Amino acid sequence: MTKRAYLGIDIGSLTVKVILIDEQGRVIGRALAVAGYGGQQAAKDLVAAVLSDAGLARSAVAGSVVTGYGRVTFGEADREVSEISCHARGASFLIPATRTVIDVGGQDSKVIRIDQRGRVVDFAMNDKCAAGTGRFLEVMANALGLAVEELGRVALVSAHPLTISNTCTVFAESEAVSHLARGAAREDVASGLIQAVSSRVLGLAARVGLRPQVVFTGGVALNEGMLTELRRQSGLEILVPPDPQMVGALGAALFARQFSAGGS
Amino acid sequence: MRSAKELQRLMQWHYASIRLPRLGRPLAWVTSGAPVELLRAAGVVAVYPENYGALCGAQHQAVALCQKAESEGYSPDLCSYARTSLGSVIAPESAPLGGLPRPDLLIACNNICSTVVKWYETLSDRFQVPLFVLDLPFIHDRLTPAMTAYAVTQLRDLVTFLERECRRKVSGAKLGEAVRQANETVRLWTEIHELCQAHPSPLNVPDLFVNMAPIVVLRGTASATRFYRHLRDEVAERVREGVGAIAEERYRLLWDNIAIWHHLYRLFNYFAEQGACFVVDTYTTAWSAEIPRGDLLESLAEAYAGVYLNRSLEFRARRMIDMIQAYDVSGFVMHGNRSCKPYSLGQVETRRLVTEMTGAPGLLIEADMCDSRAFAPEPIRTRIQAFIETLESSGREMRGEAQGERR
Amino acid sequence: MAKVGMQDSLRWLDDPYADWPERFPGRKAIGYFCSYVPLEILHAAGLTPVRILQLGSTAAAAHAHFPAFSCAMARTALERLVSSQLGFLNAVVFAHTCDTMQCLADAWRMVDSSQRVLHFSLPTTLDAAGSVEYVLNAHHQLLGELELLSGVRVSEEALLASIALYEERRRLLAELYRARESLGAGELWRITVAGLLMPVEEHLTLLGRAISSLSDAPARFGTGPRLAVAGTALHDGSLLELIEELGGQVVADNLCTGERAFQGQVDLQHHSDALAALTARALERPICPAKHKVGQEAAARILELVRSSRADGVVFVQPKYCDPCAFDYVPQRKALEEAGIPHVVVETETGACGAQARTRLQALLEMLS
Repeated sequence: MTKRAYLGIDIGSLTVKVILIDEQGRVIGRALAVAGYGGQQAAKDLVAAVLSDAGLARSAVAGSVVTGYGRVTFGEADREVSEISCHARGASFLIPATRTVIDVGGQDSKVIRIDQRGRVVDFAMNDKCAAGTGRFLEVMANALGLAVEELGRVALVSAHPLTISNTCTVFAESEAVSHLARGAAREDVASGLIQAVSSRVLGLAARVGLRPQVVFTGGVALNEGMLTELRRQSGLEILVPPDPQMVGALGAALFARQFSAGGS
Repeated sequence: MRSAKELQRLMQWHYASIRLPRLGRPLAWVTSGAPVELLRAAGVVAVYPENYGALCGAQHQAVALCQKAESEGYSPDLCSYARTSLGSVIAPESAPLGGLPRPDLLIACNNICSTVVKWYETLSDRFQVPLFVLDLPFIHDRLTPAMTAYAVTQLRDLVTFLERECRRKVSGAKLGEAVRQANETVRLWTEIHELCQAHPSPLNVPDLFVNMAPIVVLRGTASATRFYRHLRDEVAERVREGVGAIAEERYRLLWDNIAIWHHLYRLFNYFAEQGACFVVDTYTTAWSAEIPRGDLLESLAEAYAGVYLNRSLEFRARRMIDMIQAYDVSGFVMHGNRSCKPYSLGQVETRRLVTEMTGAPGLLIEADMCDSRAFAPEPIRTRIQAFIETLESSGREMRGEAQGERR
Repeated sequence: MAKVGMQDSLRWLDDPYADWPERFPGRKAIGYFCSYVPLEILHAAGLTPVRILQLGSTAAAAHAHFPAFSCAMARTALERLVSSQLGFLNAVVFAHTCDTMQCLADAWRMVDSSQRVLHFSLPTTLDAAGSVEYVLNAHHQLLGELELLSGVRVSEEALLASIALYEERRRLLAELYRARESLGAGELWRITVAGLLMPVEEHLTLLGRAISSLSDAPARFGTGPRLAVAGTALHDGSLLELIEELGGQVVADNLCTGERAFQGQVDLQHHSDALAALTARALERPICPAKHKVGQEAAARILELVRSSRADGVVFVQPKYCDPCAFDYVPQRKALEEAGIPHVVVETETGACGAQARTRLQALLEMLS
């Protein structure tokens, strides 16, 4: 009856994700919520909800790891591990052939190269002023009067993408708006924006090298337009695991299990 | 312009000739401020990555090359000439003309900036070829005897270096001839500038930017001298006939800094449509000092240590003030070039000083000489429009013969 | 216990220029930016060198005077000048370092014409034909200007006495750095940087106290992956403390606010006089990324740092808009990759770490565990 479970908590800038796994690594609980201010309270509430849904008491949790932007001040996990290591771990678990992880989150983008054991070999994160994050897509979608998910779908329709080249998010937005003002079709501007973000992400990836199998995680991986464009620009078959936003939390839970068994 | 065809032929010939068999003569990549006269005397073929960068910028090919460099880890905040050049070395198949021919030697003089030292160190490492750095100390106050002595010692060392690499002596006669040619070219180029003191000006600054290429890459050759003689004749003819560069010269302006190569004509046409002509600039006039008479190495040292970018901000402000007065200029535009710190970091202060001393309003616009990703056309247009309105409302418009009444 | 006392007594590092004259009464302060400035000469002329660092200043402003695409060190210095925080300085010495500092040197007087600016014309190339003569001349020039400023003729004896003090300081700092495992990198940073802001005599006392406090101190900072920290000036010690907090240890650095500041001896045995000996030190000490010297190219320097310290990984501290650091990074990264040594870059404006930098450091340490 003593069911042991492991918690992985990923406190991002926009959303909080929680994964509960059992001793065998099967996912027995999963939740996602808006982070709100700081993410701490949302994380606590989400953990309680996940445990409740799984019918488990807090005492059944044999280990917990927190990752993500808000991990530093979250006091209720046993350890904190960087989102680099967690994404590497989670992606490798879901798709063992993974050798490169591309993660585009709200505030930052990362490209991680891993070995066959899912250990991090090299990584790169976006520098300041690099418009290649979920936030950029949000701002642009807003400028086009679309929801972010729509931005991707609308972009796919375009046959003549327009170039948006400015590195600065503010000026890129003004470029997009100028195009619209001159009568450009929305899908062409959307496509140009998707191209710009992809180009930036792949530029980051070039610094560590894209080795197949490339796996795309994070909220932006749900954006069809982005996935299509990344595949097109890289010429590689890029896979998206099911539930790509949860990969970090899954990796955290796997680390929790590992630490509990005495592994570092 | 008639001479445009000759310019095109000359530059095409230059880029073609550098790929021809050189019969054992070394090819050197050289910075724009290096004493090329020594190379001409040594028989070294000189090639200019900065000019190549400008070419890529003008052809809208620079961004792709910069991205290649950035994917190897070069920061996008570094000079875009360097990033373009390095991109062309990393991926020559993607570069205009297939990039520049492989160098046998590298010669970098830091009288224009310190970036060239780091850039050429990288090139030396990539190509595994010798690098000579000519270190000319910055002149905050004045050129001291110690600076000249240091420069001369290095120039002697450069001669030794060239003789070793070329396996023959540097000919004193050839050096004298190269200096003579260079001086003649510079004299003609200066004359061309001074002809723009005419009302209306026969040239607008994009003409100067385009026509400056031979003085940078072919200085010290007879063909460059010939070209500038023809250009001078053509410009003098325009002045005689009262032909102006733009339709209606209402404002005479000064331009500071390197050109925005990827937006050259569109930018200056926008000004021209509002009657603004750039009659003088600080960049193309940087090649205006003749090599003085006397001991050759000392003269070369003085000429090259004293280039515009090796001088203090106060010196440059004074130079701009002199130009504003000599060319009857009523306003100035400064290109805040992200790629060029020595040229741009002092502009906020020099702009203030120049306006204070001349009354002429100055506009500072931030862009990049090669990297169009750092350029926002719409906001810049707005600023230009506001600036022209400032000139208009402050009564700085040319009204035919009444220029003397302004100010 | 000694550590707590040290920290308290150095609390003024958070804002060192505010009450400098009150803290060090009766002293004539002279500002400087670059570790190549020969402090011994300033001292011999009766002045107290005070290095101008960012030190917690987040006012990377001065937009009214300097464009945004310049390093925060230059802009915060200008901001301090404009807001009259540097009025206690009798003058400022600008060594020729890089393009940004070159422009700052000129802008300094344009922004405040009452400022007395001295130039130390240290050339870029340190092994050129004529380097020795030119650098010696630069030392003579500086001495001459300082004599004018202070109204005091500086004798050879005075120079030798100042050199002796600074050599003693270098010796004590080297000893302290050998005990990094007991002291911790953050504390070492504080003690080193304090020395750049106070009279050398008082610093020698501080160093003596720190060394004697070590006798019974455990080597509690000596565990975890060994990291070398590479860069130029570090304006905030919290980065080093963060490395330790995350479970790593700092085993070496080549920072000019760290080890590089006191490397290289003044060898009076082999040189005819004080200035000749100082010249030799300037030319022979480990170089800054802004200098050029054959054999000390970027890749060679980083491999030497890693090899001599047996570091497992490297943290590059890169100020945004620092061109020398950005250029050096590429060959250094390649050399480290070939040697199988992981690294991260912390791009910074204040020297402190943001959230992303913390993630990068943590990920590096996780890779090395």
